[in-house]
Amino acid sequence: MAEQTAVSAYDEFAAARPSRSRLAEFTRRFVRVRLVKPALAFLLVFLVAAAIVDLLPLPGFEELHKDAEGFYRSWEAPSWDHPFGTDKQGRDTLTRVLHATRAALAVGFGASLFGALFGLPIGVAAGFARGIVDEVLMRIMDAVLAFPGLILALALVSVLGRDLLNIIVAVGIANVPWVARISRSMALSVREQDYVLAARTLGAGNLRIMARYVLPNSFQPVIVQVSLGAGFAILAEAGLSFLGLGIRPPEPTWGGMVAEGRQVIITNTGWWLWVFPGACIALLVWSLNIIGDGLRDVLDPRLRGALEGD
Amino acid sequence: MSAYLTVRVLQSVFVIILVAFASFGIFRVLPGDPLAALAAEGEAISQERRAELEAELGLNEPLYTQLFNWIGGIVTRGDFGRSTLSRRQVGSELLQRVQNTLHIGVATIFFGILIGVPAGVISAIKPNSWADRLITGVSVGGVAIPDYLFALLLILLFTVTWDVLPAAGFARIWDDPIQSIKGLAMPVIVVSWVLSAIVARQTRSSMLEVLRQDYVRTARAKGLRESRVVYLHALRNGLLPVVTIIGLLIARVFAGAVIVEQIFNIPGMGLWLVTAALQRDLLIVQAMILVIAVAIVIANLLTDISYGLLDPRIRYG
Repeated sequence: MAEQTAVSAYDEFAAARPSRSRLAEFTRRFVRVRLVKPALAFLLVFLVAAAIVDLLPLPGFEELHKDAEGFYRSWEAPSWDHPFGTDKQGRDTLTRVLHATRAALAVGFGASLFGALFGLPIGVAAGFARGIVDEVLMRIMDAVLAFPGLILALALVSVLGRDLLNIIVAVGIANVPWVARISRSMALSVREQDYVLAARTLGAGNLRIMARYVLPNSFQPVIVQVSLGAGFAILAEAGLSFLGLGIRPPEPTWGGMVAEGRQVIITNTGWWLWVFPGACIALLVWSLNIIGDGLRDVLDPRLRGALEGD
Repeated sequence: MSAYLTVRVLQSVFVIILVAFASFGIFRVLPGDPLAALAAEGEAISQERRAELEAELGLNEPLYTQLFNWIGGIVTRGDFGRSTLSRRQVGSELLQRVQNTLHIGVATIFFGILIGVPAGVISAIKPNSWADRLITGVSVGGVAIPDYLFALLLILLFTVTWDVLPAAGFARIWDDPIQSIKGLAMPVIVVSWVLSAIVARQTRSSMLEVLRQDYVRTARAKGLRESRVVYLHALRNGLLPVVTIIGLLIARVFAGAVIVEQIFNIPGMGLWLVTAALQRDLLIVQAMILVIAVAIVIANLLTDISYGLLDPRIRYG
């Protein structure tokens, strides 16, 4: 390695610095975080699968495969015809696993965006107003947090019904308090900053300060929470489907497929029924957790450890 | 300290009231029919029968009367209302169910701490060592792999392949200890994994924090053995923040119980909740989520209080 003086290193740094946009700088640091690259790759695979599953040369997810004599090709082990095997009704597991990616991603991102959409204003309002408003809003958030996410979702689904939108709402409510807590703490610290005082002196009102200073500052920690929240939401959706309270069949879901596999576990007639969808859940959730942790490390190292929770 | 105590207790009482409103509101204010369970049986219920049932279950009263009757009944008589389907009292069966779920709860929190704390300490002593990476990897798996998937793997191993543990067959520890331990082994392993992952993560980060403190450096500078520094000086303070996650652990026990009770057919609160939700027996679901949420609020209150007592630096502010 060539000898490099501190001055030349600084020149290099100073020269390189302005040419890099903030986004490029962020990307460079983000992909360097351990395991972020494979996590992004897995997420991309799932996103692509969800987008193009209908265009792939695969049998339909509801197609019941029969053999020459007209019997259902039930519980066939993986083969060239059916790389992930078939289920009880002779449906192709690979197609169903790929198709279920849609439900998982829709609920995962839908529910965590729902959490951000409601949590952000609640948290900002609480932190900004302080006093009794803060107290009441945060106690309401505590009340929501008192219900374990999966159990709250289960109760809501039992009332609202099992449409996709209802499931997104039922799962997403559990994400609201986490976002609210983070944006509240951001609002509490931002409102004490000198630039907010300066803006006030210039006559800026509360709404303007919230929109111009507090919201943009809360944005980054909320993005981290959206990523981690999506992981939780996918687990919750899969859990609901596993219990039979998820999106209605025949629409395939990973949790529902694992539940079908569970029915034959004792006779061990179809490991492929639950291993493949189960692996998809674990991979996707793992990827989202790694991405969320990586975003947190890059965007705001101070928050490390502060967001621990499920 | 007493001001802190008062504020925390008042806050918790307020949260419990909100939780009760929410448990009730979910089922009465949101669009949903409390008698849906009966309608789902196939035949629509006639107007007369509906009026009769509503009168019997008290559903014809104004909402606020229903709310106060419900909460009043719980507080004064331990009456949690009745099942829409069987019209049996929820309260009488609740006690049995709580006891069964407690089996899982006590065992998993015990093992979660027993495994999680040493794992977290080992991780923190040598960050980024192979041991740390192994422990972190296993913890990440504990959070990302769904509990039911892990449960199926265990069944495949212990029941199908080796035939050493039953996949179903719950007994209480005081009725039949051997059968109880056998029946609970797999569900307890499943939930303990998640709990110990959470405990290990928390222990690791708080130990890392403590090991950077001046008094640890002083202890080392005095020439104390490293084991003494870690286990006597650092661990005592490093374990404090672990206390704060007990409430989170209890929440995870309930979430885990919902899944493992279903898989291993354990007649606890989780299985009851799922069965009731599937049958849309909403009055049972309503009572169950209230009990679970109140248990968690109280657990959080107790951990905050004990944390305040253990760490004199903590003041409400």
